[in-house]
Amino acid sequence: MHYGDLVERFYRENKLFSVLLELTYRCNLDCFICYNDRERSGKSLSLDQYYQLLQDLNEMQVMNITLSGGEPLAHPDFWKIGARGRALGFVMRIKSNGHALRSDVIQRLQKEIDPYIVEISLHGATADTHDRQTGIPGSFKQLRQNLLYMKRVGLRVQLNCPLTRWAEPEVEMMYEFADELGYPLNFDPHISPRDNGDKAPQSIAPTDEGLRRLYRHQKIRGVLIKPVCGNDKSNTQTAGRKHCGTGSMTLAIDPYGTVYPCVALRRPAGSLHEHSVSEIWDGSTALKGIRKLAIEAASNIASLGPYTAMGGFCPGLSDMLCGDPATVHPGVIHVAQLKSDCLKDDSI
Amino acid sequence: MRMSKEAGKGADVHSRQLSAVRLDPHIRWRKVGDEGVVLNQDKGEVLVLNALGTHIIELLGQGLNTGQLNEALLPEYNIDQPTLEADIQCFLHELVETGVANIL
Repeated sequence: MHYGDLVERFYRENKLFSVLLELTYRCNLDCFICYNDRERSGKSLSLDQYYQLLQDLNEMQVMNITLSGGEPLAHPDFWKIGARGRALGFVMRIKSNGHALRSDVIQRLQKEIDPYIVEISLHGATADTHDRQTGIPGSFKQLRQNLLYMKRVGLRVQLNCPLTRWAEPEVEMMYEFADELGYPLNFDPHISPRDNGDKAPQSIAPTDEGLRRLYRHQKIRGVLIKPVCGNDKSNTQTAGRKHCGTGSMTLAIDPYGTVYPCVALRRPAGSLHEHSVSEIWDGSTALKGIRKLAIEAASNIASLGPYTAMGGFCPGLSDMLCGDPATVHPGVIHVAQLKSDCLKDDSI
Repeated sequence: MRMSKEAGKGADVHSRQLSAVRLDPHIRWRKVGDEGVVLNQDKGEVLVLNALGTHIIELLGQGLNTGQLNEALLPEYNIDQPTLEADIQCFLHELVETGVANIL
C-alpha cells in the first residue's frame, strides 16, 4: 500500500494521525495578521496533563505531534513536552516564527527534541516588510541569521508565507531568499480573520495583482500546474470521500485544553479538563458532525469543477466567513479563477 | 517493503548474514491496524509495511537480535525455518539499505 492510499484510509476510518498543540498564545513578535485570540483566557493545561495527553496519543498510535502557538518556545515547559514527545517516538514538528531559534537554541532543539521539521513564517524578503509585519525591528535580520545556522547544521525547514499586500511586491525576492537557503517556500493566498472573529487582518489580504504576480512567477518556476483530475461533475470518484482530514485524521488543542478538529476549524469537540483525548475522539458528537461535513465539503468543491480545487478551499476558513464549513466561500473561487487565467495565458 | 515467500529469494543477493541490527535513532514508526508507517527523518522518506514487517520493527525496537527474531516469529507463521530465516535476513538487509536500521 502506498502512503497516499494509507492517508485516504485514515480519512475514511477516522484514524487520528496528527495532533497540533497550541502550547501558548504568548509570542515574542506582534504580527498584525496573527489569527490567535490573545485575549482568550482559561485554565491552562498543566505539565502533567500534557504528559498524560502524550501518553494517550501514543497509545492511540498517533504519528505526528506539532508544537505550535503563539510561539511554542514561549511556553515554560516547551522543552519538557518536546522531549517527552520525542521519547515516546512521535514525529515531532515545530511551528515557530524563528526569532528565538538562535544557534544555541537550535543545538538544544536537535539534541533534546530532534524535530523532523521546523516550519517558519516569512513575511517578506526585506527587513522593512518583514519587520513591519512582526512589529519588531531587527526581526528579519535575526531570522536570516538563524536560518543560515539551521541550514549549516542540516535542520529541515519549511518557510511559510501568508501572502499580504505588504509582501506581494517581494514575491520573487522571497523565492530567491528561500532558494539561497535551499528551503521550500509555501504561500497561502487566504488571510484568515482572528479566532475571535476580528477581520482586521483581512485588510491587508493580497490584491488581485499581487496574486497574479505570485501565480505568474510560480508558473515560470514550474510549480503552478494544471489540475490532473477529470470531470469531477460526475462525482463518481468523490462520492463518500472527505475533503480533508479535519476531525478525521487531525486534532488541534489550544492552551486551555479545548480540542478542535484542526487548527483552522474552531468548533470545540471537547475539553481535556473533562475528558481524555480518546474519549473525545471516539465520543464527540461535534467531531461526528464535522466528519459528515468533510464529505459534504468534498462534494461541494468537486461540483464546481477541477479548477476550483486549486483555490485552496479550507472548511475552517469557510466556517469563519460563511458560518458553514461545507460552503465553498467566494475567495476560493476567485483564487482558482486567477490561477486558471494564469495557466491559460500562453504569454507566460 | 514487504515480507513474502518471494522475498526469501532475495536473500541470496545479500551474502552477509546479519546477526543483529538496531533501528536508527532518527526513524519514527507507528502501527496502524495491522500495518506500519515508518518515517526516515534523515531522508524524509515514508515506508508502509505489512503486518510481518511491522512486527519485526516492533521486535527490533525491543532489542531482539536475529536469532531471537527467528525464535519469536517461527511459532507465529506457517512457514519452514530456513525460509523464514532467509526472509528475515532479506528484510533486515532492506532495512539497512534504506537507513531504517544499522548493523550492530
